[in-house]
Amino acid sequence: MADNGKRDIIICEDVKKWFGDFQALRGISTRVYEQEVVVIIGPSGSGKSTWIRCINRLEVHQEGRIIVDGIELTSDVRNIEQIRSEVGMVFQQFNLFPHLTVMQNITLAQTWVRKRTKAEAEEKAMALLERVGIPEQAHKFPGQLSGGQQQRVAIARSLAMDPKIMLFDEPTSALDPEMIKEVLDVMKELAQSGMTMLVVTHEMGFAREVADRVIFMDQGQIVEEGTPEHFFTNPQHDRTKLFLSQIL
Amino acid sequence: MTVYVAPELKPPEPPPEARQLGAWVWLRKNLFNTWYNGVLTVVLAVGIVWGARGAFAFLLSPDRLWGVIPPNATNYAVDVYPRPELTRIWVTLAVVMVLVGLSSATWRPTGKTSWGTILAVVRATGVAAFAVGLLVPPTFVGRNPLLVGGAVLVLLGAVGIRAAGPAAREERLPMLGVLAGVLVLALVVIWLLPVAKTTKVPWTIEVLVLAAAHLVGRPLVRAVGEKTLKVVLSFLWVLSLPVIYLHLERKPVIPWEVVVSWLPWVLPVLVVGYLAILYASRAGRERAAALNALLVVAALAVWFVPSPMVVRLLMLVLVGFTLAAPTFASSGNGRRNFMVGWSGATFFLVYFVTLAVAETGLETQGDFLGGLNLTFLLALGGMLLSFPIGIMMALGRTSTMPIFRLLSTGYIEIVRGVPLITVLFFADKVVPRFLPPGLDFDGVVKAIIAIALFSGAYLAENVRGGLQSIPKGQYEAARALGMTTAQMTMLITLPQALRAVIPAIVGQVISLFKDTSLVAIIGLADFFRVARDIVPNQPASLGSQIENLVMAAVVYWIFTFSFSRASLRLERKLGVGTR
Repeated sequence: MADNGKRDIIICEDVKKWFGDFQALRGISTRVYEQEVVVIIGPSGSGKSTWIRCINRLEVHQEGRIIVDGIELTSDVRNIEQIRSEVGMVFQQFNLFPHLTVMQNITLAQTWVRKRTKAEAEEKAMALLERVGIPEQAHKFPGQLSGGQQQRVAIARSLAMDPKIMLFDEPTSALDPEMIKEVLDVMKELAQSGMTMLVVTHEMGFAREVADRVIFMDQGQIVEEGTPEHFFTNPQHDRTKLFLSQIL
Repeated sequence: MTVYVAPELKPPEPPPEARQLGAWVWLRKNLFNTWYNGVLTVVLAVGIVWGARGAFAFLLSPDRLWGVIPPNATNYAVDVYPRPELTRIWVTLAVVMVLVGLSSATWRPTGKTSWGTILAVVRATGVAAFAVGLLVPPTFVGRNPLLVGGAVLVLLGAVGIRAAGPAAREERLPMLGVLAGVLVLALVVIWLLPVAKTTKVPWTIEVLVLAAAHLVGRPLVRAVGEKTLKVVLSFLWVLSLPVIYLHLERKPVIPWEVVVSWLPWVLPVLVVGYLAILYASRAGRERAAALNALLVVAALAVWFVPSPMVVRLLMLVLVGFTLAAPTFASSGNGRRNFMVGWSGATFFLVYFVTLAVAETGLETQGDFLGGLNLTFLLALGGMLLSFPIGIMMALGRTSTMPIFRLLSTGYIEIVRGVPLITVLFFADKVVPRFLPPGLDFDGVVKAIIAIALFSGAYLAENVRGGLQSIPKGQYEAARALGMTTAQMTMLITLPQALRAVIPAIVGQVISLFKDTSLVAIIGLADFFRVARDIVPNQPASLGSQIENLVMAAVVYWIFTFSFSRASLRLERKLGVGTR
């Protein structure tokens, strides 16, 4: 239970992960409560992406514990699929399915994983496309959309599964500057609607405006965490100060 | 530093008119742009003219026995197939025509062409005919018709293009209509030429069947729905092959009393199947797995109790259905599809086994199939069977499970390491020794299986290439949405992989088509063997090897060239809007 009375939905205890000899995560311990928006920043290679990819087990941690919505991530296949269908993920490269239309991209997993009928799935898809602002693109292929539109479709695709948690892995890093805003606006609206979000990003404006908490990572560990206000006005650790001085 | 501010943004302008190059300028630019290219052009031109003159002189010499080809048309087509039963072959062809007609109405090739393109083809044909007229020996009777006809075609094309003006470039003629026009033209030609009635009447009927199927197909698409019809037609295409082979062309004598004796076995299995699928799709993963284990044991057990072969096979099919049921049949729609699928599978298995055990009613010596008919059966059968083999092997080789990887890698490397002739020999001479006594297949079936196994190994490597070209992000996105491995493969990676390797697959199909000529080694009389051995050894056509070989080469070329053209269109169609 977090101190504001909300339930912890993600619990990480001393999570460690190696790629060969290289240790990518050197013991991550933190808790995320329901409806919290956590922004994770840090230099490249600091383990941010690896960590959030561990949370829906696209990467497998080797030591420590990760508990998502009361279910511990183990190698048991059923746990993994159950967690994956409750944790949505948005990737830097969008990863839409290029052989399917926008509509099919959003309905596919609904029908096969959530077992909805086609009509239900399409209704849901259309509602989500309205929400991300591109209902008119439903019958195009991903290759015909701009980067910002593709990323919004990817967000709609994840939301269609009714996830309890959304993970964003640098969602705006592959976008033209003019398209970043349209994606961030969708994410802001999502945060305001009460979604639990973990966002790896370099968009400090977004962190400052939307985050409940900012985590700064370096060398596979959490260096400093706190409110955005603390971070951008009064950082404590030397490494944090150095990082912020270079990007702001 | 000066400051520049654009007064207003410029609107887009049309591109500049492409300059028409004169013939002389074109020649200068493309053939004679440097002195050594000029020399090369002249040398090559002389070489081509010399070679073509030689070839024409050889092919059109009065010594050539071209007259033996037309009377042997039936031999090339079907070899020794009993002539009184030829209707069966025509019915086969009509079945294919119906499928082609329905498919063309369902898939609706959207290609368009323009009058300009058609007239350009006419003009090019004229140029070619005129050039051939110049190159043939002066004694050849067709020389003047070639020259005059060529000139007329060139004139027609050129005048047509000029008269139509810029309208000639508008692409608004449906390709399908043009093809239909060509077919009608071909019909008119065979009715004008002195062709035997037994040839032109059936062919006219076939074309009419094709047209009728297409016309029936259009309202059918509206009534049934495009998606359903596509699935149904795909199944029919796959089923057409065994139906044609087992039913139409074998004239089976069906042992009804044997079939009836199966019923007490088949009906209970059918009902058990319904219940098992229902249970497996609802009970959740663990209980479904337990049921599957039980069914596997049962499927193995029936091999040890005296039971009809059809029941043993049926049990194996059922295991496949219940294995897939928890993943693909857990929604209402999927469950209904599985029930229909299971009923269909039972029906067709009984049907095929019945026909396979039936004796053929055709009275011939040895194998009754031959000629182009056999070549097509082998190619179609090999192709249809090699796809599942190739895809499974490709998935096995890229699997994370070592045992699958080892087995498929071993299979692929062994089969790719031996020539097709070896595989054919093996299937014909060695495999029957390991089968229970009394159980042996026709040479045709053995050849189809051998070709499919061989071609499957190559196809597997092509598909593997496609699978490896799928970005890692596609797997991750599918995983992140909670899809199982089977769903991810069937819905995301495999469709993309197959699309990516269409050119390689077409190459494989073409080489498979030509490789069917190797079945001569196990005593089958395919088209090539008829042309190489059988026709030239008949008293009436002795010494006509060269003519037959040239004819065979042209026939193979026509088909393979059409495949490659068709695949180009397919690639272009699938390429649009997908990337």
